Amino acid sequence: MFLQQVVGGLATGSIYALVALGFILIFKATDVVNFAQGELMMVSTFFAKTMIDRLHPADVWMWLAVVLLTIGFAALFGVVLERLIIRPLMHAPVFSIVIATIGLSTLLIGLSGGVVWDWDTYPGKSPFSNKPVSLGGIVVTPLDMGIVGITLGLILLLTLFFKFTKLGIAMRATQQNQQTATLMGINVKGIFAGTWALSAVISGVAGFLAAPIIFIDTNMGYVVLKGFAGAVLGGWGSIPGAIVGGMALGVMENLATVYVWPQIKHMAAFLVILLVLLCKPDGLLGFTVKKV
Amino acid sequence: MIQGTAGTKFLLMLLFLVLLIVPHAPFMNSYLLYILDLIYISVLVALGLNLLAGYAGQISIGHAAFYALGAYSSAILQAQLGLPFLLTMVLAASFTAVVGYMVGLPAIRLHGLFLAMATLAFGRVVEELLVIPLLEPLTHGADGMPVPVAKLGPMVLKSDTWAFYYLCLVLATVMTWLAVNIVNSRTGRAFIALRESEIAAQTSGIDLAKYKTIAFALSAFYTGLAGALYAQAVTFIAPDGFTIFLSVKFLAVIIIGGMGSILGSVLGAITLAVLPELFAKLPGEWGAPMIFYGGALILVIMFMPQGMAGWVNALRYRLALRRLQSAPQLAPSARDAVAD
Repeated sequence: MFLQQVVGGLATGSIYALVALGFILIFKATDVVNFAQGELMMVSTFFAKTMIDRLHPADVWMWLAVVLLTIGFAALFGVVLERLIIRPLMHAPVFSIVIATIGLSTLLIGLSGGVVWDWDTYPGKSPFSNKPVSLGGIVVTPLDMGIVGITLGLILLLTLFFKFTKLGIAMRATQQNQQTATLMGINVKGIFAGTWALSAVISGVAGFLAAPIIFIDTNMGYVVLKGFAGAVLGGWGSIPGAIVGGMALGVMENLATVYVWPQIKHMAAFLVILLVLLCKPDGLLGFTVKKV
Repeated sequence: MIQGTAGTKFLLMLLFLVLLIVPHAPFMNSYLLYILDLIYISVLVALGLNLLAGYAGQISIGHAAFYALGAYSSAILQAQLGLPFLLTMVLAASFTAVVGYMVGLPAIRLHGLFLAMATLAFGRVVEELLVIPLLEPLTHGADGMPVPVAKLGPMVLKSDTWAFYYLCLVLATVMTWLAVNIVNSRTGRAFIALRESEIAAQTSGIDLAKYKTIAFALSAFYTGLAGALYAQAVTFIAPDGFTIFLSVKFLAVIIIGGMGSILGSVLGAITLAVLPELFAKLPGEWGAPMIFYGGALILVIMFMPQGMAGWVNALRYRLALRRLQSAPQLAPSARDAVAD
């Protein structure tokens, strides 16, 4: 029973982890908490849904095409938003940029629901089946395994990207110190745009994976709050912290539902935020970023 | 900043007199009276949020929750204990202030944007609490609850009665006056200092945790008071009236009016008060309010970050400058005062 809940929580936890990762990337590069992160995810997921409705993917290649189209769209969307809204505010106080992202989040919900798509709730489709399989006494669905697998794969790819590619290293340099990065000949503006694109892509993938579990509607961006809670739990500002914290939160939610009180599920994340902030603000991994 | 002159004081007195007489004007009807009540209530929220966000520099995206706490606690106290509204209003505002203080507590450990996220989480928790079955006997859950009709002596306090109008007017006036005084006090200067730089503020001996929690409690008090009045004005409250979108609307009021400006709070509240009525005429599925508020936040931050108060200040500056140019013999110190 206990193990069952832990395994079940890992799938939702993976989504929280990805969402948290999207947050942290933008925060580390630009010092901005992007309150529109959830809506980036929502728009990409709606786009994926539209593509699925148009293309009716049946085999692996068609699904791959849908995924690649969604990733391309998310990247473009991230770059456009950065260019239109964030870059003009680059020299404004962080406060102003945050307000702008709050506005952006509301605007995107309004535009998605009112103009581009609608306010209905749709079940998400996935290439993975939802039929439970028993693995050594623990019941899992291929969907859950797919979500965890893709998340881990994506994290591995990102780690390699940040460690070994020139662009990844330039991004890390910018995160550490913008001025020095500029002096080293790094195009910081380009890195900002790239960070937004990368973050939007990660959120898009998270949305694509999450859609069969949490349904697609204009409010689905709220799941980002859980991602934030995960990031705080793991240690704000740390990429491993975001992943561990997100996963841990998913598991904790499941356990709390069974062992504490069923109705606590949606509140657990927020109680976790408040508790962690009060008791151990550095998070589980005890890692704080101090920028000079 | 140009200090208020005898002229502005005269204008303010005149405005107050007009507002005193206005409910008796021949064109007045119960609907207009209701809109005016909502403007005063909105001014209270705007002042509260501006003290926190505009002066102390702490963004809150959870103010709808304070509003809800004020509205619900006042209504529940009336319904369950039969207390008079003037008392429940004060109790509700005080209770909300205590909650605000507790929300501000993580501030001891946090800086900047963490707190904004914590307020967002707080907003969601309160949204969930309002529909939780445990509290259903009090809150009536998702169905919402009717607000008992309040009386002040023989007078009924409803959105279309003069008694309620004067109550709102007096509270809005007193609380505005109070806000102006807070801003010009030691506390207000501490707020501004910690907004400008937490490190510099600490260096000058300002207790960050203390002033952040004060700012939260104060802001929650204003918002809770407004919530209690709002419950009376609309006579029926339900959880779906207090979502994050309401918090975004509150933010829009002070951004459009002017951050860090009492005048801006009032201007923003007046400007945005009529919008809900306009949007009600459009089909709901267009999502017009969200597009408007979201777009407005972005555009105002980009192109007029000082909001409407910025225009007024620019105008006053230009007037003062013209007065100076027509009186070149003025002492240099006076010129500095204007340019300040």
